[in-house]
Amino acid sequence: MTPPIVAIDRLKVHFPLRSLALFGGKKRVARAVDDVTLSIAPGETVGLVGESGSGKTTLGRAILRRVPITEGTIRFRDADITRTDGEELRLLRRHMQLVFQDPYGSLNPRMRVADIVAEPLLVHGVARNAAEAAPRVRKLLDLVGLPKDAAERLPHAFSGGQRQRIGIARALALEPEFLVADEPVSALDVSIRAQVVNLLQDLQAQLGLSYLFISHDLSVVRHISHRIAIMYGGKLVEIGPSKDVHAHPIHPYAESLLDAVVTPDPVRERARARAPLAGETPSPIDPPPGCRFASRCPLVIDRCRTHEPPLEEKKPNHFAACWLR
Amino acid sequence: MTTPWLEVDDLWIEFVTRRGIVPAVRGVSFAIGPGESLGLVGESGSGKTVIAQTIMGLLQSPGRVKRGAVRWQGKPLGFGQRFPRDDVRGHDISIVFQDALAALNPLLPVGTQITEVLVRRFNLSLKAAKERAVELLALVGIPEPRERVRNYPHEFSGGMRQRAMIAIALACEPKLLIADEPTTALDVTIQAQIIYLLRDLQQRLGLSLLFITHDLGVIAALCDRVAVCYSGKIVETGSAEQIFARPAHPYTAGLLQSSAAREDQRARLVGIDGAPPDLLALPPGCAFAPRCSYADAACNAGVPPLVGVGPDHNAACIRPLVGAEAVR
Repeated sequence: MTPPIVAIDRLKVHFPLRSLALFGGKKRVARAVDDVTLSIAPGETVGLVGESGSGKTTLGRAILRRVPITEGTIRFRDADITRTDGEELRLLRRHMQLVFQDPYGSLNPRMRVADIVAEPLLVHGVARNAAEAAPRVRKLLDLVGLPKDAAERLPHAFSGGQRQRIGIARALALEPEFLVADEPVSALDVSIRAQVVNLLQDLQAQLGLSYLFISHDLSVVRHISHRIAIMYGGKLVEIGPSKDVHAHPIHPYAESLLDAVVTPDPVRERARARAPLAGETPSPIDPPPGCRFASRCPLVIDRCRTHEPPLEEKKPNHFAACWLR
Repeated sequence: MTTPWLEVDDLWIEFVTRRGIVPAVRGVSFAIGPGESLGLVGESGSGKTVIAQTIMGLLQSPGRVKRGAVRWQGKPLGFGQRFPRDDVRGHDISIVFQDALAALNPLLPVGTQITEVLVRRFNLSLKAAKERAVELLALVGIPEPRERVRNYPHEFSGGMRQRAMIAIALACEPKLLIADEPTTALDVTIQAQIIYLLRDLQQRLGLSLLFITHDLGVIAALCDRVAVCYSGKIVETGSAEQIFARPAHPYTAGLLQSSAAREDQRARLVGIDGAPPDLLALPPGCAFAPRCSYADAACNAGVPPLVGVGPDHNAACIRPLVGAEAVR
């Protein structure tokens, strides 16, 4: 097996909360990512699914070293990058980039597209000035399917889908090997999403990129991912080949999540008699012991409330953290 | 046929901007009968939200109704800057917005925002209104409603806020509930809860529902009839069964394909090329023609009207999809 491009081991990202400690209260901690182990192979797409507050965005940022790590390690290629800092971290950033969710908020409205895409090249000293960056910018815009005259225009002249292409061109400027795409199509209209998803897939085939594709939209994740990882309350509760997770989810949460997806099929939707999963995502602040999903789980037993289930290989390459399955 | 409750008749809405007059809604007509649920589907810029605002009398400058009518049980409703207050909006029709946090008053307890409606609408005493507010919160599935009435909106989670919004909308005992993307900002499992709640309320209270969304899955779960909006026009209407099984307009078919779960994992995702037209520079004929793989010169000759393509099924296309083309 080829060594992974990114490997995280028992990663914890805990955010201390400004609390009532001043008044003798207990220090509270939000466990955004709690003991997550995950690796991504070269050329692989891992889809990371979870609801708001599950820790999926924090995990993505942690891998890119954009939030402080509490515990555990992150390896990129063969190097431990958990504590990398200063100039070394700056150089590391060339290899791993982020595609943002909001194509409206993530592009400076006063900068020409050419300058937006050239900026990482200038910051990292790959090009000394705009003129030197220009040929590379042209190539990048062409790569993401934007017209030649796009370079001279401002972001407002572009639709959401095209803006996301600009964001992708910027992320690719430094020829990274690994991209974290955080909900890259959620802000786009349904008919436009396919264009961006197909572009990401084409780029992967062309450039051998690895992706961590973060989304709450299971249909897109299923399409683009080789493997799917599901997070709940800061924990990884299931990970496995995309097809297996979809067809035969193991964890009760994975099952509920897949079940909650509405499909454009009135016959199927009308026939749906079962009440949806009750309750809400638990707070990551001082979670109770045991399984994080215990409070909502339809199958819960006493043990779930006291002992945390480990992530185990239940079927070949298909891992889940549940006492009952 | 009985008179429908809500009729929108040849509605034209425009926005006066510095760049010119934007024709946001161009001749939209539909009707909703007692207990019926209509799903208005469209992507951003299709005009669906503006239609809802106009029905509610909430259209704001620079938007204005150019022509057309909105009728409630046969009686025309006013709109514009200073139309006389009527006893339909906020009585027979109420609305639930997408962003519950923005729609709720952050400085008032949720209960007060419900009792306000009750006191005004039914002249209830404050005590009776408080009792009713607790009932309403229970109705929309908020646990411990007696304690929760005193909470402020920020003390509610996203899903609970949306439930509270629905409780406020139901306080006036409306006959028609307009829901404008009420589940879009919510997580999948919470969205499922709200869909379930709306369907349950519709059945129990005999509500009519105008459900506005871009998500065809939500429509499939909730609506009897569907109207598909594109660039300010309805391009297809029909029963949910018809539209989902045999879409006649290429835009509807494309939208269905874009949102269909792909079995074949590594195949290309099917979307629709291009982007919706600039409303200030609409093509001369069908607005969808520039993105339509079936379009030819005739499509640019004139704006196609909605015509029957089957029983209770209309499409605005000069060569609607038939047979194998329409089958997904």
